[in-house]
Amino acid sequence: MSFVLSQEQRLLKQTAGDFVKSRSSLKRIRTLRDSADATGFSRDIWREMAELGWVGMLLPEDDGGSALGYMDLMMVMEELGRGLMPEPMLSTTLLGANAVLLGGSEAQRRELLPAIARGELLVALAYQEPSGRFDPHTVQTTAEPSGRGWKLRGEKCLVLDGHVADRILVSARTSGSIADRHGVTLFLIDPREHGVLVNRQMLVDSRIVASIRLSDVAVDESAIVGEPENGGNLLEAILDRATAGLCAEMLGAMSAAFEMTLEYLKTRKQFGVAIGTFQALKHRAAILYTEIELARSAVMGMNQALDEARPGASALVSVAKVSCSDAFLLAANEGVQMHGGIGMTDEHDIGFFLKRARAAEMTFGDAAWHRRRYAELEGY
Amino acid sequence: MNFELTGEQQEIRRQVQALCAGFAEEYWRERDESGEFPFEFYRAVAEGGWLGITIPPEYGGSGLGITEAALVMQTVAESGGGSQACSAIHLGIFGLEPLIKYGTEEARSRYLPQILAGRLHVSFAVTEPDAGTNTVEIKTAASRSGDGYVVRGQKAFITKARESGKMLLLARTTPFDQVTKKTDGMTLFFADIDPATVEVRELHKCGRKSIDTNMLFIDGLYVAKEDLIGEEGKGFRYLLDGLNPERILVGAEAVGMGKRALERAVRYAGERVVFGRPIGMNQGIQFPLADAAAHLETAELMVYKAASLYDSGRPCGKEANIAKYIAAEAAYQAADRAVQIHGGYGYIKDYDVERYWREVRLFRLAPISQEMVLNYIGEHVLGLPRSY
Repeated sequence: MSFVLSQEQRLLKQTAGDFVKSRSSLKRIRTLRDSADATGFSRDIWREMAELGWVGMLLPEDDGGSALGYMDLMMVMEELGRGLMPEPMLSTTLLGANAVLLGGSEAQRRELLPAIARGELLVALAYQEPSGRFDPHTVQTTAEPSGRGWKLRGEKCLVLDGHVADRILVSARTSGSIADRHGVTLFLIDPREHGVLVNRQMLVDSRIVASIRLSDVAVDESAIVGEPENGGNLLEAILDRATAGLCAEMLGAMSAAFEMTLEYLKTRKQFGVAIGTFQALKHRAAILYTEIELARSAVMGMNQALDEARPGASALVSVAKVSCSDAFLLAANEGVQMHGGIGMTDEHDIGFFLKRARAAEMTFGDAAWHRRRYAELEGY
Repeated sequence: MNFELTGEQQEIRRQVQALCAGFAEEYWRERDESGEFPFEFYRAVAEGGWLGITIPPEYGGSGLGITEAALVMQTVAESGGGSQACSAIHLGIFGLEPLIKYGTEEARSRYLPQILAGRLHVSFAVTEPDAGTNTVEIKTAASRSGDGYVVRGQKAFITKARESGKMLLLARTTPFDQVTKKTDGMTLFFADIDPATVEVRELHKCGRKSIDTNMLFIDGLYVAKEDLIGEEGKGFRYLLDGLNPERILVGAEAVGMGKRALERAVRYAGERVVFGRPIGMNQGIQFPLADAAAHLETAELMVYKAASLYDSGRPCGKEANIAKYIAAEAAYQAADRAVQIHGGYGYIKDYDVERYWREVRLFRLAPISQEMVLNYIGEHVLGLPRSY
């Protein structure tokens, strides 16, 4: 295992960092929120990201991608995280493209992947349901055979970028009972189909999700992605990869929050000295730094395991999500605390990190959920 | 609401402080080294009349409440005697309730004076290897034999069995699978610790070395009918009365030990000079101690709130459990910080704080684990569903 970045990776990180600095700012993020922007991100920036090869980064060259791995993706996600960039990497690159890459037929790959990589097609994954919290196997949405195809009925929630997706992958139960691992099938639907109701919702961190109601949505056989009835396993594989991307994003965001706080400790004066002089703050800053470094190691270890397709990769995904959830929340909370009164104002940017920390923690399973998953995977 | 000690209570504290002053840190350090029971201390406490503080005057006691008993225990702990001193006398201070409340007049007048005089030590034999907090699953069984009972089974974590001539022994007289209510069918005895039929095997512990903790292997112990406490089959109920007072006393002991540890840490922080100034000037030292002080003071309030509720005959399950929980955490944090602040010396026995730290760790486990307290609060205070 190597914890040293390659020349290419360092270059990628540098490029991504420069891109975020030149194209985005926390002011842009604030404007997106304050103007209640319908899209919630910039399609122009997204197109540029596609041109840089980031959107199709994980896809093979035949599918229009750059055939890179998770360690490479980390370089980009971390920088995007620093800038709290809301562009749809999680939904399209990590959930949507991975679903098609891992489960799609030849025809589906040809049709969808190059368009995704070009930044022309946005894809969302609707797997969560109101009763299931984080469990991808709790599926009450049903798919019943109807003529030569299927009819989908049910309700999905917290669908990342579901409000703008051109295609939505939906998990539906084709057999078994509510939380069975077996009996779930993934379907690719067009949100413009009859019976699809997409309701846009803004989260606490101003990112946009959708709740989706499916009322007898008719799809044909070709809509199935992956092996029928075995969608549960496919979902786990997709979510592992998406969680890896999210962890890298969180790592970047917590680092930025920490640096902002550290800068404040060095410049803000009280009793005639920089407040970083006070041990009660200095020591806590040191603790924060060690927690963030620990999270970084967890993320790197996870990415290498995914790139090498090691059998224990899923457990490391949970380790990284636990570590990032806890460390990001701590960094953001301490950030607000150490900024004092100004940290509580909306004018100051530190609060944006606290909100993102809270929302990211609750995405793809919170720390408690991943601790339990780790225990189950390791047979505790 | 009154947070003041009465004149009598202040006097109790002064007298106990004076008694404990005769037993310096050195005395406890030696006990911790040799494992020898602190007989001298025990005798002094008995002679001072403290063992009978809660026992009714008609049996030679002072008939005071749990508030006063807690005050005695906290003062003893705070003197530096820690849990070696407290555990030596803990059962005498309060554990005899079942005998006093439910024992026969004959047993009371025969045994209580001996106990108060310090001549008879008593152990509390309830816990078993396979039934910790889940007391209803004890396996030790007493079967009728002639005029009495014959007992077979094992007991775990039995304090002072080496010194004790008697034990409050809980045994099943009706097997678990034959009772309609799980808590029925258990009987309490004031049994002999008879070396012929009770093997006492000491367990080696992390701290509190001079107060032995033992496994008991009971094989054919005869208990005369006269040594039955109350009615056969109702023993569990008699023990319930003692659970809250025990938690209150343990809370008081923990607060006392925490305060002692904190006092030593504060003293050292003021004396030890590094980088040209006392280390107590560092926020990294000062804040953890201030935080420990805040938690200890809070725990103390909860202990005496629970004690005063108990003494006025009101329910105190919530308060007694919370008191034990908060006191155990606060005391452990205080002791841990005392070790940390002493630097390398914190690890050296001559500085005492490592002894407090080893001893105080027990309160997070006994008499009930912190986790079981949270279960109690979750279920009985908050009304959440039972989780186990």
